[in-house]
Order: sequence, then C-alpha cells, then structure tokens
Amino acid sequence: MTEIAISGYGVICAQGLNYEECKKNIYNSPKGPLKPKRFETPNIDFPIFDIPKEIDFIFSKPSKEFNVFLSTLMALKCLEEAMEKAKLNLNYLKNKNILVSIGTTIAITLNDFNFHKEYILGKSPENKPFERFLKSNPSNFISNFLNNLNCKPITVATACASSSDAIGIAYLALKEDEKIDLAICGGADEVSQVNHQGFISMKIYSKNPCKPFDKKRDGLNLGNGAGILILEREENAIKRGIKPDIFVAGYGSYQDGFHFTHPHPEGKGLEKSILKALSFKKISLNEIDFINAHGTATPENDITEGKVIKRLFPEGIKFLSTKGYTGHTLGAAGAIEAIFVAMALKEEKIMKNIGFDEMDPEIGLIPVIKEEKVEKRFALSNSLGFAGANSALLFERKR
Amino acid sequence: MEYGIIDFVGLSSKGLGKDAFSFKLKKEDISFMEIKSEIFGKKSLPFFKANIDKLKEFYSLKDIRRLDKYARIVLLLSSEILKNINQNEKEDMAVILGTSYGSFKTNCDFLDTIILQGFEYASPMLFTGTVHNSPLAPLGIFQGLRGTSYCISNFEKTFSSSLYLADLLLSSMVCEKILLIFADEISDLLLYGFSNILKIDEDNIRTIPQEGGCAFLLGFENFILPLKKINDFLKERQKNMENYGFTYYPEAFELLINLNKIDIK
Repeated sequence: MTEIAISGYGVICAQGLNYEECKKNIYNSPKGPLKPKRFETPNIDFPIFDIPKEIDFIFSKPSKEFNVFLSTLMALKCLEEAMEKAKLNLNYLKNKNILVSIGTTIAITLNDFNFHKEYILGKSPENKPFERFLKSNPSNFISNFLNNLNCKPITVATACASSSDAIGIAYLALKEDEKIDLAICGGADEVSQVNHQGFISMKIYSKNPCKPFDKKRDGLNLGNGAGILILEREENAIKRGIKPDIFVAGYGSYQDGFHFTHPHPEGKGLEKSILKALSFKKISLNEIDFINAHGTATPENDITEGKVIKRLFPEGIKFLSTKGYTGHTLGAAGAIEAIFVAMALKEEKIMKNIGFDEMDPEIGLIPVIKEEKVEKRFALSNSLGFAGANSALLFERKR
Repeated sequence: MEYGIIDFVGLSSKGLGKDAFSFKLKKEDISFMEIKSEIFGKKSLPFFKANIDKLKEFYSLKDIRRLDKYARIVLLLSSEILKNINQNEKEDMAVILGTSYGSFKTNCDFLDTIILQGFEYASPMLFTGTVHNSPLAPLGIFQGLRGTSYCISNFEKTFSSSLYLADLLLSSMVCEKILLIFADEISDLLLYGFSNILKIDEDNIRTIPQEGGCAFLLGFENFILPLKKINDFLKERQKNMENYGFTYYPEAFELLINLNKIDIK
C-alpha cells in the first residue's frame, strides 16, 4: 500500500513564525489574543490571535516585494520552512510534477476597506488592491513562484474546512495519480473587517480568550495564520535522506445539506467524514489515540462535535481544540491543526485544551486539560465550515 | 473503469439550456451596469447578464429570497441538470463548483453596509454569503446533495483544476457521480477593477465580462464523452469565442458548445 508521508511542514500562527517557536510556546507559555491593530474597527474589544511579528524575508527576498495579501505571504513563508525540513530546493522541484493544493477564504476575496470606501463614495480608487486580489490566489501564486510548468494549482474554498480538504485532495492525488511526484498543500488565512465584523454580527465572537467545550464558552476569536505540508510517497522521501515518521492515512469530506451556517444538529456530515477517513486504513474507532476537534468555542459547533465524539468513540477518548492557541484561522485552521497533530504525535504528548474550566452538561465530555501522553498510532483531525462543509483527516505515527 | 460526461447545461443572457452558448452574441445581448467614479463620472459598463428567470419554475421566490445571484445561478443550473435524477442518487453525488470571483458581490455588499451605515449595521445574513462555497448550502438543502463537495477558485486554472479533481474523485471511487458546475456573478466593483486593466469595449465581445455558467453531470454509465478525452476533444474542435464574453474558464463554455453540436444517440 502506498504510504503518504509528511516530509516537510511549516507553520505560522499567534504562537510563532515557525514550527519550533510554535512548539515552544504551545507546550510552555502560550500567547493569548490581542486587540486588533491591522485594520480599522470600532470593535477593538473583540481580540484576535495575530502573528507575533512581521515577516521580513522569504526565500531571501524582502516580503514587501511580493505585493500579495498577508495570507499568501504567510503561505509562502511556510513553504520556505516546509521545503527546508523536507530537504527540497527550487532546482529539484523544477523537474517534478507538483500538486499545489491550498485552502483559504480571504486570499480569494477583495477585502481592501479603503478601496471599497473610495469606490462607494464615488471616487476613483487606485486599482492596486484589485490587481493584488488577482495576484494573491495562493495556489496560483505558489505555482508561479516555483516557475514550474508541471505544477497543478488547486485553490480550495470550502470555508473553514478549506485546508483540511486541500490536504485531503493532495492525499488522494498521491494515492491515485502516479504522475504526481509530491504535493504542497495546506492553507492560509487572515482576519479582515469582513470576517471580524461578520462573526461579531452573528453574535458568536467572544470578547475574551475563547473557551472551547467549556460550559461558559461564548464564541470564537479569529486568528491570522498558515500551514503548509509537503506530502509525498514514503519511498521518495527516503531517497532524499528523509525518514518520515508522520503520515496522512485517510480522509473523508461530506456535506451536511442542512443550513447555511449551522452544522447538522446530529453532525451527520461529520460522522460520515470520520468513518470515511478511517476506512482508508480499515481501522476501528478504538484505534484512535486522540481527536483534534474543530472546537471553535461557539455554542453550536461544540455541541454538535461533542455529540459525534460521544456517539462514535469509546468512553474516555482524548480530544482537544487548539483554537485557544491560534484563534479560529478559518481556511488555514485545518492545515495548522494538521501540523499540531503531527507535533503531538512526534512529541508523544497532546497539548492541553486551553480555556476549559467546567464541563457543559449538554456536551457531557471533558477535553484534554493537562498534557497527556500519546499511546496509540492514530489521531484524527476534524474541520467544519459554513455551507455545511465537514472533513476529517487521519494521521499515523510510525517509529 | 471509464467515466465521462453524461449530461450538460448552460446559463447565459439567452437563458437556460444545452444551447445557452450556441449562438454568436450580438449587441442586444449586452446589459449594462452603472459605476460611479471621479474619472468616469456615472458610466455604464457592459457585461453579459445571466437570465435566471427560470428559477421561479423550480422554487418559490420566498424560498430563495436569501440567495444572492451567484447562488441562484448555481441552484438553477443544478436544478435543471438534476431534474430527472432520483434522490438516492443525489444523496451521495459529489459536487465541484468552479468559480473565478465566487462571492465577490456579496462580500462588497457586506463591506458597503459597514461603510455607508456603520459597523453596527453589518448584516449576519450577508456575511454568511461571503464565502465562495456558499451556494453549496442551498444545493444540499433544496437538491439534497450531501456528498463530497468542493468549491475551487483558481482564475484561469479553474477549469483544469476542477476537471483534475473530478477525475481524482471518480478514479478513487470517492463517488459514482459528480455535478461539476462553473458559475460567476458580475458586479459593479468587478467591472470597475477590470476596466482599469483591460479595455472593456462594447464592440469587442471578448472584452465584455460574462456572467452565468454551465454544469456537467459526470459518471460511469451512459456517458457521451470520456473525461480523459475532454482535452483532445477541445483541441480538435473549432473555437466559438464569439459566443461568450470574457471568462477565466473559456474551456468550459467551449466544451458545452461543442457537446451540443455532436449527434448524441
């Protein structure tokens, strides 16, 4: 059976600008959300998980010269880190057939507030934001950056499940399409006036650090971030001197078809996605060590996910949400969390679910509240999104 | 096992049907949208507007009142192509929605509300339509599509990316049938942005942005064109570029037009 290895990974979020920084902060001194400062808003009491500092250089070039959205810039920075870890260079990639599968929500929309404002007030705004919008499509941009005619770009837009789906598509491609040598996959997203104000107007944005699965949870916090993974067949990675230890082992994605924003109350799409992901390895539910839940800390999401976890998995299954470290990074969440799952499997310790104090009787489950040891080989990561999107990724650790 | 295109339909200014893009466009097909700017003053820019009148034959206006035009285009195309498909088949059917601009217009509307009326007037309903995959919700709710569903947005690569993904899903047996849709809505800010980088000229059809889309039903049985042969099929056929305006996925319209020309037994 073809094994799909994660041979490289790069991550940016509120905990750091690379994997090592994130790991150090997640396990030792996690950073919290701050007042939004990148855009104009009267709602400064609704905090965001911003990246800790600006990105100066990418591939030795000043980041400003790329002139793309922050999301796309973060994706490129993560690619630099992922390539370094996978021992890849641009020359090597030029001869390869690469699938570039990136998920996002904001990097494919024009959210430039001043551009809109000038236009709506009858002025003639400079067209640069529009041109940046056309240029920033993340998978197109990365394919162009790699200058590789054999790149297949796919930008996946399934809302907050985007990057889990992008990774899932890359996994399927490496399993099914012999012509694909490797995949650059993941996601990138950023907070803008639209999503910040949008979630506030839906009354599911918390003024406090979010509390996934807690009884007193009152909404999410948004975050900026990106995660990029290099996936390839195990034997290819070994040929380059990499000994992969974490693998993508399954993937499922199903639509709820229930509501525009709310998940199906019984989590039907999520359940199908989880079972499909497990079917690739033909493993049973009790072989899963832990679940990285979507866990946005909105009342509804956590109830639905809790119901599915309770219904499907053995009592005492370990689960957590990492939104307390990153905020909800929307189209990047699945990718960042895939890297966190890989981190937990590598370190053999599950990070704690920040923000949980008291069990919600409606959920009836307690997440991981202090670091716990990983004892089994498999872990699962869930993503849910607007428009009824659900997806699940299965990960495996090998020694 | 082979798989391919079972059925197809298009939606243009001429309405809904297999032949929606089978005719050369004329000046009377052009619609205009007003933009306001210091440079232009008030100016009307041309675009080819999708005629979605037929949607009322499928749904009451009350049921679809919350859908933006982008979602209505997707819903109309899917309702037409799936009208003879039973619910069991639809339940596990996959959907791939390819789009260039997706929810651009609704995103603008949301921002306009904030700018003109204030942040406190931001509409949660508009916000739910600001994600590119938003039409997948009504497809699930009204058409009962609950399979694997994606939205792909890659500008000039949208057609090839979506087709590649369809091939992948069918070859890996993730599903037995796929509804592949390409759809876009044109808005005034989009026209403004494009008017600054390409000359939108009433006398040159290829510069006038095209609204609407097309849909293809893909599967393993009774197909009229194998998926693997689509690129060769398109290479061998004459181009019909006077039949549609500016689009990032001309291949989709060419495919539709040429499928409509072949004698399907």
